[in-house]
Amino acid sequence: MTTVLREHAETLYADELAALAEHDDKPRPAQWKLSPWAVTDYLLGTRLADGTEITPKYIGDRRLMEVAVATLATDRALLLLGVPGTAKSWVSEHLTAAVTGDSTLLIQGTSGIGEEALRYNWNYAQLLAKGPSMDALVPSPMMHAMRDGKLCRVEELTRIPSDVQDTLITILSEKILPIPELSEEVQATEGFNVIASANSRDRGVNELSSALQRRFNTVVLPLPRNLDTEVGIVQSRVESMAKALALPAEPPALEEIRRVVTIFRELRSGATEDGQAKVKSPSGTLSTAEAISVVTNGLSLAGHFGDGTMNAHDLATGMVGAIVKDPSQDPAVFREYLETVVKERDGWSDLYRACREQL
Amino acid sequence: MKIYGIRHHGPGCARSLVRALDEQSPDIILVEAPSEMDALLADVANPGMKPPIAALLYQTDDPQSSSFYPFARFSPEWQALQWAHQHECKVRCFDLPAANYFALDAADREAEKPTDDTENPLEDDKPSGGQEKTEVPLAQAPLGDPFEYFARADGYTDGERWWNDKMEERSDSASFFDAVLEAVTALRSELNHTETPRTLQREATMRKHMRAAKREGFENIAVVCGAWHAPALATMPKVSEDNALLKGLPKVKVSATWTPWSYERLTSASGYGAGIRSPGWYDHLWSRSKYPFTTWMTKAARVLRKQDIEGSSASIIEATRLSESLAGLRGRPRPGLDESLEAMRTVFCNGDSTPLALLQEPLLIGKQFGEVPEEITNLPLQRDIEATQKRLRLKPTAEARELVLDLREDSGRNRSVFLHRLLALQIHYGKKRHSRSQGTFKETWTLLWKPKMILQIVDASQFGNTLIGASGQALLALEGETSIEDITERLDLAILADLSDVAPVLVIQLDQSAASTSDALELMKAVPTLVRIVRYGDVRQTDAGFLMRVVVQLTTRIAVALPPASTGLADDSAHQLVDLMRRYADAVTTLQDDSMLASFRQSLSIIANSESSSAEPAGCATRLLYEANEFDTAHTAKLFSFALSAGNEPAQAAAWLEGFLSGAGSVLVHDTALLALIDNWLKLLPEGSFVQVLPLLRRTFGQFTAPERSRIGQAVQSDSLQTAATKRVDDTNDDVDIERALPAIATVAKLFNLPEPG
Repeated sequence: MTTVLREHAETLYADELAALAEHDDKPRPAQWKLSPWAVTDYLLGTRLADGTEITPKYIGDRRLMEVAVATLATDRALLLLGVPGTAKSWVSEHLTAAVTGDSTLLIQGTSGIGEEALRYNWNYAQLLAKGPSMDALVPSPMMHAMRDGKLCRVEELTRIPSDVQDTLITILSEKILPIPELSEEVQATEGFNVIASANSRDRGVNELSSALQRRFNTVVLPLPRNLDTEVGIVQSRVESMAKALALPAEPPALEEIRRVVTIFRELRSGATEDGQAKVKSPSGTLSTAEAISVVTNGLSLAGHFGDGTMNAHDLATGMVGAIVKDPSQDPAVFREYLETVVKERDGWSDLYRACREQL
Repeated sequence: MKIYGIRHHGPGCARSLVRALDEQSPDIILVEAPSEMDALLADVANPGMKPPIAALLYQTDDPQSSSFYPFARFSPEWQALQWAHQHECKVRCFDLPAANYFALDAADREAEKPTDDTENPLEDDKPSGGQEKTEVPLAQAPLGDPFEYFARADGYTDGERWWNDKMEERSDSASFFDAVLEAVTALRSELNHTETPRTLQREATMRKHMRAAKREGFENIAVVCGAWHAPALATMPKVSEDNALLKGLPKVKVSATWTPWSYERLTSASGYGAGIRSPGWYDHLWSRSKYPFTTWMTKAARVLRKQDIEGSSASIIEATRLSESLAGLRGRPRPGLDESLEAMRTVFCNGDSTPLALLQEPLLIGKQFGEVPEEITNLPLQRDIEATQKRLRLKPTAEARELVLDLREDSGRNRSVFLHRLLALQIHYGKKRHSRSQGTFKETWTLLWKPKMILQIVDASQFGNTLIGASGQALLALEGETSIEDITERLDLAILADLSDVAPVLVIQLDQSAASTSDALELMKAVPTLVRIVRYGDVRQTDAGFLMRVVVQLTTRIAVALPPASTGLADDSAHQLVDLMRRYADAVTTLQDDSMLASFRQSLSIIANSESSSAEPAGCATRLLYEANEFDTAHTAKLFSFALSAGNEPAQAAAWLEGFLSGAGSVLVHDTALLALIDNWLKLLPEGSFVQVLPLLRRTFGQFTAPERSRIGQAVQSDSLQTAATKRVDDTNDDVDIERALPAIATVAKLFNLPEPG
């Protein structure tokens, strides 16, 4: 039997969603599978009255998630903004899974995307054979969401060329999708809304027009506030990924993860955690997501080529790859960091040597 | 008798209180405030009193121990006072007298002294205050902390939010005070905290006054006190117990006055103990507009619009809806301050929290300033200033008057110190004029006393109640990021104002700021003043050493940062840099530190020789090095003709020339070698280039004064010019006739107390 590599959120957490629905006695907006309270609990994790554990999907500020959920209950669309790796897509997937039970209505924004991807396409064989008709129409995920009153996700909104972006204005303000060829239109039913995500590093590439901007409530997902939060995020994701990828190595000790996260945080913020030394920042983002991939990478190296326990060498490979993005500047930055900070730290000499060898 | 447990500065409390007083119509109101304030209560009726205002109580012989009791229009106490005035009801302040409070505090300080050395300002890390005790939250119950328990039980993150939600932002107030009383009674008995002796003494005093009022035959008494004290006043212990607590309390003489206040100083961020987060929000809640929340959002949008942030009516609608659904999500009856801020951030500011800072002052804090009629205000600082003016015979006059001070005399020095201290408090009574002709021991001031300076004194009172204390604290009170130049100016002022306690703290601040500044210009701005302080300032020996270390550190960093900072500059900033370079060069030269000079000259020579430097700084660097004998005539001439050669843009060449020659009019008259260098270059120019370069030369030379120009013309015509060009390098030392110079050197050595030259 073949298993899929990555399950949809609503399948993976079907038990939790069912348990939440069972205990949910608060009012639900039209078409919502859960009440806004339950959606927030699903995202942030809780323990239900009967002892069912709801795992946290997003570790961070509760107030941010409340704003996001409350936005979906109004008729403004939600825009999740943040630097790469701050769980924008992750949050939007889980939001749609919790609200509509269907996270598959997804439009991936690219620079080559056309209006059809947001509106509808034609089945040309049908079109030629029978002329324009509803049968010849291939609806987009957006059109599906409008018809069925679901949530549609638009990933990387600012990668989409401006003229295509503006297609969304009618959809979001008038809640209709006109089909001029057939002199018809699709009207959105109750429950329809849009969750878009955009990378704040891409700002200015295809900046949203202010008309479109006005249709969105923006929630900025920040980088994790402190070391412990970030270590917690990496730890929980690495554990679940190791399970999904069937990695042979032992789950890593918290200490290793802490080291990786510390290095990433220090390079990112430009100062050591104790605030005593200034550190130069490399060109990459060094997000939490990259820390996660460094650890899983290290795990698989240890499992397949090492002794099964992740050591400094296994980490160093991934780490250098993640930190050194611009070959002209980053090696110098990282080397300076190694010499001034890592070298001095007690018990870090293995990591220091491993990284030096890789550079 | 009714007891109203309130929160100081709570609009919900105030509203409920007014309603409850209407219902009860008491014959006397007891308000929680030191009994000395009774003397001030008559002024409440004065229509010129516009809150926010504060009552100031201070020890008559030591004004530095003092307390402020602020009132806003939404403060329940203020409303109680107003109600009493309108209904002609008696009011009394019934808290522990400040006379006892100050004396007890002084005793406590005395007891703590061996361990806690507050005399040393270096260890005092409080942003303001020092030994002075302003804004003691005497009228404050320990509200914040205990209410956390309720907040947590109710699912809130902190007590303030909980109280806001449950008490201040609600509209119905039936049985409000019974509920507060019950809640606090439960808290106090459950927690069973041991109250501080001060709290017990205060509560005993309050009970004493309540008994006295009963004895005097008042039957319908209203007691307005901090919620925390309510239970202690509801149950009366034996009279003897209270008397025992209050027996033999020490006493000092206390004076009281009103002073205008501002919403800014009502915030907890200002250091006020009973402070609130957002006076603007409370003021708005109090103002009872018809649609409070929509009005609030609209106000916010209008503030943001002024700052060019999009906040259309449609956005206001969305923000209001979002905050309502957020409130719903959180199970609140209506949105509060937090919901409104989150909605503003999401809708108006595109999720970015930075623009919210724009709302802070105009909206969240509120710009309101209070007013107190002039005849009522009588501040200790004001009296200290007036007394000093009298002592120094500097009568305030309404017309400008000139004053020349001789700093070698005591009276001159004292007056100068006094005027500088006022400057430190931003009171510009005297305006210092810079006059070069009079030497360093004289200062020229223009004195002008303006009536509005009384307001500045009121404002300065926040720093202290004596001139010396306040001016010191004012110099230390840094707001936000301060530039190194700013700190240097403060240090300069501190030394001129003879504030010897403050100077070392500023030197440390300077050191820290220097470590975190990387902008060469910023650093360079600070150096000339610092050098002046090091050389002439009356700094203590140790501080001078430390200051010198800072200067060395600064100059080293400037030497590194200067060459990169002088590339790719726009005309304006290049011109600025050149000005700075000149002043900086003068300063560094006066210090006569060889290594410092060497590194500075090294970076100058990088600038002069590098093609990537901007033209004007390059010209200036060349000139400075030429003057320092670092570049010989040949090299200077080479650079000169290179910079003015046809290959360069005319504008660039002109800028270089300006950098090279600016301010050199009189120098050219005397430095014949420099003049010869220019003259030679000019003579060798082919006709085409000459025509091209002529406007540039005219522009530069046009800046010199007419007599300078004519004397330069004469010098060019004289024959000695040619010989001078070649002689310059040689004539530095050789011509001196040692024999003839010796007597002069001996006299100079005697004057400066140096060993006799051998």
